[in-house]
Amino acid sequence: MTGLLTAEGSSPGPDDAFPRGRRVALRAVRNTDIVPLQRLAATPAVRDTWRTRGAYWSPAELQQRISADPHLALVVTDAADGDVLGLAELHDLDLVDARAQLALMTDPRTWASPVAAEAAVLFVGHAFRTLPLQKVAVTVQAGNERAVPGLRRLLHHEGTLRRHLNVNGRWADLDLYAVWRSDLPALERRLGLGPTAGATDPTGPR
Amino acid sequence: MTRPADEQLAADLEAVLEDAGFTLAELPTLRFGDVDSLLAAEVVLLVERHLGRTLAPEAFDLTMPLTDVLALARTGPPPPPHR
Repeated sequence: MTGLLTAEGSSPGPDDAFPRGRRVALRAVRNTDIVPLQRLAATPAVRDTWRTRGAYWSPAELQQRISADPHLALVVTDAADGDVLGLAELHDLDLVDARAQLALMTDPRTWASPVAAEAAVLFVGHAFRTLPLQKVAVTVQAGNERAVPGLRRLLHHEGTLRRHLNVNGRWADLDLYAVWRSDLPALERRLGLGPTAGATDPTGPR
Repeated sequence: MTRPADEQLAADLEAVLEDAGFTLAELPTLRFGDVDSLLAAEVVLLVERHLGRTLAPEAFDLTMPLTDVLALARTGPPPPPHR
């Protein structure tokens, strides 16, 4: 799926085609989301840790990158009022190796709540249910003390790439984590998200 | 025999804290900003399960002591709006 941006009211499918959790709902990206998403991406705490890697992206640049880069991008919204809380993306889709990579940004004002964890598990579940994937990789700067300890408890740590990223002129190590299709039910239980219908493996046994 | 709800919450909290490398005794010293995002999420989820409702994301910030969310668990949800 490319050309992800849609005009208001013309999303590629109804919003109920996308997962909804206890506090967040995911939906297709609309043109009207670009301004709130760009504001989030420009927030220093997000800009230095998300795929912006310290750089400022204008609204037009963010719009172009969302349209061109990810295989799938869904907006993370507040399930109660629809406010934009973040963006979940699936990159580097490889159907031969049945894997892809998750990128997630969320509003720092929600960082003390389960928003990011819930959005990530909902998005990964959606990816496993709609694509023939066995593994979704997650990368994070090794110095991200908010994310790394939890990821080490929750996912499989597959290694660390040394001096892998240039973040605003500073070298950063990159930790690699993975979630396997078979991990999903336990993750959903841990985050209070019951397994939903359609969790069968579209790839069949491998 | 089932445990009283408060006792169950304390036991569950102790388990998630220990999983993250903390003890129950350290709880009063911890703020949301001191712990990783998974532990913060799990503490909130335990309290929500205890309350039987979901708390709004804006109910928390990184400067808030973890014990404040536990106070919510003790006091219970606010009364329903008057009709």
